[in-house]
Amino acid sequence: MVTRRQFLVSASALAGSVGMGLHSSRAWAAPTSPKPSKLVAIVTSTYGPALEAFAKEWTKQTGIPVEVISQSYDTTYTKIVTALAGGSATDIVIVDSIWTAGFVQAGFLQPLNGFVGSATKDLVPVSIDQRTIDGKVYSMPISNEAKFFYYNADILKAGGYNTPPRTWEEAAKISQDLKDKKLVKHGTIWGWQQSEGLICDYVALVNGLGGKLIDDGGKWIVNQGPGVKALEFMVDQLKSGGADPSSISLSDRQVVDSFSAGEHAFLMSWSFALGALNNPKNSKVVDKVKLDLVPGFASAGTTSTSVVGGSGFGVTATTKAADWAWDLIQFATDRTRQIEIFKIRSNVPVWKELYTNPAVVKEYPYISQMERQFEYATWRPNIQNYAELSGVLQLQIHKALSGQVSPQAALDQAATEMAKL
Amino acid sequence: MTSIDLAERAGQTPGAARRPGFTEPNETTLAWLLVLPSLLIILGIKLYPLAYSLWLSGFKVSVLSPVARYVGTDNYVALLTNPNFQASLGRTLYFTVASLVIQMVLGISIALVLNTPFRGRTFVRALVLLPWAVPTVVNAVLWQWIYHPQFGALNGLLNLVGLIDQNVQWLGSPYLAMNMVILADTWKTLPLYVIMFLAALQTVPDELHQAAAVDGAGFWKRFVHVTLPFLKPTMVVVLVLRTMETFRVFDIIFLMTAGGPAGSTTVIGYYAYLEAFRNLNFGAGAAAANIIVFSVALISLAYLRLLRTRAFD
Repeated sequence: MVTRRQFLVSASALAGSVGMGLHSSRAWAAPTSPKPSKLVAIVTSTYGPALEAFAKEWTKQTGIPVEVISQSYDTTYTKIVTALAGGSATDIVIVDSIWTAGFVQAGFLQPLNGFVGSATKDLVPVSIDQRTIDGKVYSMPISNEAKFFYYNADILKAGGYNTPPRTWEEAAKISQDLKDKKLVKHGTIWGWQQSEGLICDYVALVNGLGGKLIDDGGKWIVNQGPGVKALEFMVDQLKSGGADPSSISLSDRQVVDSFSAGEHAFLMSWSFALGALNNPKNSKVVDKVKLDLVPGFASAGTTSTSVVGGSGFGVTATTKAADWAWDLIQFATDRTRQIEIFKIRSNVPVWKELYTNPAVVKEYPYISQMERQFEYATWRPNIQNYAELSGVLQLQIHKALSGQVSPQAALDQAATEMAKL
Repeated sequence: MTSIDLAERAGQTPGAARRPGFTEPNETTLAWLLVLPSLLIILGIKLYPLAYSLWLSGFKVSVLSPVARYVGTDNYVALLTNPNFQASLGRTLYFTVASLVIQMVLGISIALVLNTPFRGRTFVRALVLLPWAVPTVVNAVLWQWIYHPQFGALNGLLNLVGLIDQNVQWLGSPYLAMNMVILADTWKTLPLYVIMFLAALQTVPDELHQAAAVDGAGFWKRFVHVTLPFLKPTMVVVLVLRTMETFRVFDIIFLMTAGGPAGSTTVIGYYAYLEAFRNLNFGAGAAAANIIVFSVALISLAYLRLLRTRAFD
């Protein structure tokens, strides 16, 4: 976890960022409306330290104090919903991409089109598209997220492989070979605990097999074709030993710690893993881990796959200082601070120009590759009661992973239950 | 007590306490005035939320679309006929019964050992109490690491002594996870049992044991006929307290397994949480919470009726 102190200490890096041709000072006028006595923001602990550090700078400029309420990811959704439904004075909330539809339906957020304006064209499309409903932008992205493919190059090299697998079928063969050579006990480790991270991987695999969760008519089709094949692949991975059996009890965050022990060849994870795996304090795989495109499926003829995520800052419908809230958001998400966040948490930037800025690319060589991954990524359904639907799917997928029911039976049950909700 | 007595107790003469136009409240009014602050607090933080929860459970209401619709007992019927809820009720009963039996047997056994004189007894007594001081959150994280499939101490130990050659998925197996949570909970709560039974054991007169021994009673007979009757009142108290705690268990499940794997540790406390705070169906969540309250109340009443007579008469 990055602390606020670390963020403050790293503020010196801003100077370096300026050297990349980016602007660190504000390039926009401050609002002319009366200043509020303070602003209140509810964010996940992922972005809490960053926002606190940025807000401190912003307060120096504007004189408006900011109260940052930082929660763990798993409790933030409930915190925001209960705070806004209960009428708490909150100005800014973090909006995970999968929360957007529900928050909009509940009337929690106000459209930001008037504030964002034409800047949307400067953002990576996937950043802004998943936050837009009926042409209205409901949050300003603070980071792009997707699942990336990490591999332990040392282990692969020892096994005689100089390049990572291009398909999951090839990954399975390499895993078996590495096991036979006693280089690993299991090729891949996944974060398949019964939680949202499990759904992210499932959605990415369904996409890799050329399918989706909901058809164009809005019907759940998880129990057909690619939906079933993806779960069969997951179950086979566990049964064959290609995947570490620990996978089903690890969250998508815990699995990064497990991979950092250097006992596995492959990991599919979010962008923050890049920083965590290269942190010498906690990782045994510093400089051994490389990043590449997530493999596709030879059986489906796909090149790669992934699922996007990431968070944005939304302005609440009830705030009395929308323009000042936006001013803080604009300040916290400007190009210089995006580089800060990428540097410290390896959260991928949302501004297009950063992916091609020579100085940025030179310092962060993976950034171009990460941008490429977004081309192959899909979204999780952006629907109002997503959390409840996801819960149903998590339970049934986990029943199949733990061998209690077959993949087909699990997904039939999931489709039936989800259709009722 | 009269108002004059009260004034005297306060160190005032009856005449001095009176002011023109001031009428002393009568005893009943004074009593109500004195308990009013506590009553207001109890009404505010206990009865009002309970009544509100009962009222809420009669509605279909979601925070995301806050238009409440009265549905009568539909939320209760839907829950009680839902196989997932029935399964979570079964898991809760298993957690409750298994925890209570294991903890009761271990608690009495350890209390008996600690009641016999031996060198270092005070130190061991203090040591046994230590887990009680550990917060539940810390306890859950501690055991999560002990059970960690890759780095956990339990797998490390069992590997070391040669009992296993492959790491066990303690929290990854639907058949093991609940039992491992019970073990973690037992480590934390056992001191409560030990200290309660140790206190009860102090009340057993030595003469009874000596007389029973003279009559030829062995350890087991003396335990059943002499010691156990003295422990029964404590057993009632501990059973009622711990049944309430185990039946509405939430924190350790939330932290250690999040209801998984495959829903195998989704007890009704966690089910109610998911319904209310993940699915945001506050009506159904309230109904699930009320079912917990009714169940605990019923079980507690049953305990009191079954055990009180035998224990106290």
